[in-house]
Amino acid sequence: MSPGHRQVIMMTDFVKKTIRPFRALRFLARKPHTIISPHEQHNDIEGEPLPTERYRGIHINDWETCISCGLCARICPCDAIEMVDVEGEQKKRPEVSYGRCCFCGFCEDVCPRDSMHLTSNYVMIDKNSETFTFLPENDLKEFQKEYIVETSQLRYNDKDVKKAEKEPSAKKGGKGKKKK
Amino acid sequence: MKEDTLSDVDTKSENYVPGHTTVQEALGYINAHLPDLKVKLLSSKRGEILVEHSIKGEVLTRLKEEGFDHFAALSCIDMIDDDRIQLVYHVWSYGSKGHILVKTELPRKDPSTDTVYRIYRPAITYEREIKEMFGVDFPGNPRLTQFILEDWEGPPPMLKDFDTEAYAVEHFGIARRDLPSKPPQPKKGGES
Amino acid sequence: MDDFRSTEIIFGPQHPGIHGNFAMRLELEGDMVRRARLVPGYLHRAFEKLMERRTWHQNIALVPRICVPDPDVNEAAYSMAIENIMGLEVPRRGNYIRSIVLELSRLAAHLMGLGGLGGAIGLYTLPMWTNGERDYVLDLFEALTGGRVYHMYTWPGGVRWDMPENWPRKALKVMDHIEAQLPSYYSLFFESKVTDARLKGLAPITTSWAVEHGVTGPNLRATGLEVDLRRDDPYAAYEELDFDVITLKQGDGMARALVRWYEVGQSIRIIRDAIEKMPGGPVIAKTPPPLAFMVPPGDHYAHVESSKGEYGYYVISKGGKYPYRVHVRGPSFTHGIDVLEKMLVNQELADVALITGGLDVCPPDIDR
Ligand code: SF4
Ligand code: SF4
Repeated sequence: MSPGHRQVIMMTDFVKKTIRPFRALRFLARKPHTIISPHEQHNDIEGEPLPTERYRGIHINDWETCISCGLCARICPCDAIEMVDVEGEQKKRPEVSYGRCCFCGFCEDVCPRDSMHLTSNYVMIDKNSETFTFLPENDLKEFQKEYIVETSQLRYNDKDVKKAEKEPSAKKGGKGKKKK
Repeated sequence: MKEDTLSDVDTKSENYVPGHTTVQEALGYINAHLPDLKVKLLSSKRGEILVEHSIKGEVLTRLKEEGFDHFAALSCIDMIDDDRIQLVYHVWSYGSKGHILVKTELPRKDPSTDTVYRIYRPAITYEREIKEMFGVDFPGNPRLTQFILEDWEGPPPMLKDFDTEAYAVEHFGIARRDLPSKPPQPKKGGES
Repeated sequence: MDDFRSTEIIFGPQHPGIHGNFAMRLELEGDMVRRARLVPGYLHRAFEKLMERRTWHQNIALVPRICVPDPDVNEAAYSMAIENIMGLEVPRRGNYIRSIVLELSRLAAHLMGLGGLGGAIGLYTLPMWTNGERDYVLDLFEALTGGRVYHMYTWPGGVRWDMPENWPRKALKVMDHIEAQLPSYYSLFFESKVTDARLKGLAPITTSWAVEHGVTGPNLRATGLEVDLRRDDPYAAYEELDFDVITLKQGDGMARALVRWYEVGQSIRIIRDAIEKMPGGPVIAKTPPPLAFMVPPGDHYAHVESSKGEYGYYVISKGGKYPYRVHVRGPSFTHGIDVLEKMLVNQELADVALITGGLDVCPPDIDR
């Protein structure tokens, strides 16, 4: 190998190692992966909104069909379900404590009457921590259905937020029941 | 303990050759030399050897020479009903792709057995953990220092007679919720 | 060693360069590490003890928590051990879905691990990008299993649900997307001079040293030994799937990173292949309902190839509804204590985070 040849190789190597990483600059023109929640909807690669139907979120329980068998309380690995007496009801109803629940969905799997379901809604904001232990009913509770974050509370306050505010924000799909 | 370092590693003259003795051959060999051992072929790739803990070193040395040079794990099981503690040495051969479990038993009171870390280096950490969690002593192991449990005064916690619930109630005042009594059987049998 | 010449520093658990929650006591002489002692235990949750008090199925919700970046190997290995004791046969479709889930999980873990390595070098762009791609994989997990990080999807006997109808199409799209990104990541990370200077020749190990010390997985393959449990002791559907075992010779930091890099490509290949060959039929074998699930007495050691190395579950049943004992063998149990203590000696302090990240040490494996 002649010295000149070696120099050429060193030069190309230099160009490769020094210049090529700068090709990454074209990523500056791309949209960021991060989204401004709650003003933007989280979409998957095909543009379909997330969370999907299968997402394991907050429970609902159809009191009409629930036979109070207590199987859900027995399978629960986190000991999150307790069967409690309810006023005006003869049967005990499962009460879920969200401080314990790990959203495994076993209670839904094991329910013999298919009355327990995990919805795809996972947003729960409340100032009172007592609200996070409750009896799942046929529908989500008011405070779980939607959440409003005042923009003044958000630390970022850039153009995107303002733009998103002007457009009506996409509402969270919440009540989708999981298909078996 | 002398610090051995990576600079002792000779990267130039590397000649690792995996051994190709199959599980069946290895078991046959062990059986021929130590006839009173119980050996069992579980499947074409898995075998089991039951040994007295005093001669496990011999068996393991032999297995390593036969190419079972990957020490996958050392498991400890507290057989409280039989009043003994079982140690299971898992070895694997990269050449013949076979797995042999070497099982040995110790009395439950003051369990102690020689270390195997000179034969299989990874055992040094497994023995350290077992010493702490099961109270099994491994004379000869230089690293039997405190591992995970800091300031622990109670009995070895992984033993079966250590009651985690009682400990939690005593130290933190937390009890497991009372589970509902046995539920009525659902009419529509079971779940899908 | 003269006391005035050496300094002891405690590296971690709250240190940006540490790879998880554990601490290292490093004895330094100037900038060189002379002695390293690992201090695990910050993440000890006594999983093995907890599992003895939970039923066979309840443990499925517990085991994935042992490894955050690569949780599915735990469910799979645990289920495989149970199936083997019971003599259960997983339906073919269930096995294929398992393979896909395991590969997605490996893909996500490698992307995250490589990002972490980039962070340790100071190339903060790489973790942003790889985690961005990982998010698409998490979206796939969400659509398939219902969980983003902990899936609780593999179940003794098969998997819990079948795939949604449009899921394979989405998965292929994500694979195309990630594959299209790979070249630009390669040129950012592996063609960079900084990476060359930091990783080439970093703490090289040989095959015999690695085997002697119980190094497994990508770290062992980086030394040139062609081993892979997916091929050597096939589980799930790997026997019927097409893939190469990646090996490199050098055994240094660069080789360890590159093996992971090429395995990302292999994972994509396996997922495509599995989706193409996907058979029909049920996804789960007929088993008793979870609350009446009993496993006959027996023991089995099931191992799988995770993104970090060999993951093993030694399950002992004495009959009944609860496991008698489960022993978890995490790859970091050897990598993270004994191997690391040796590899760090005579390295510079600045390389400590890089070596730890390069080995992909995950403290939850050690503590459990
Ligand atoms: S398992 Fe179903 S039917 Fe039984 S108590 Fe729970 S929700 Fe009701
Ligand atoms: S989702 Fe799992 S943890 Fe939560 S209440 Fe149901 S069974 Fe219990």
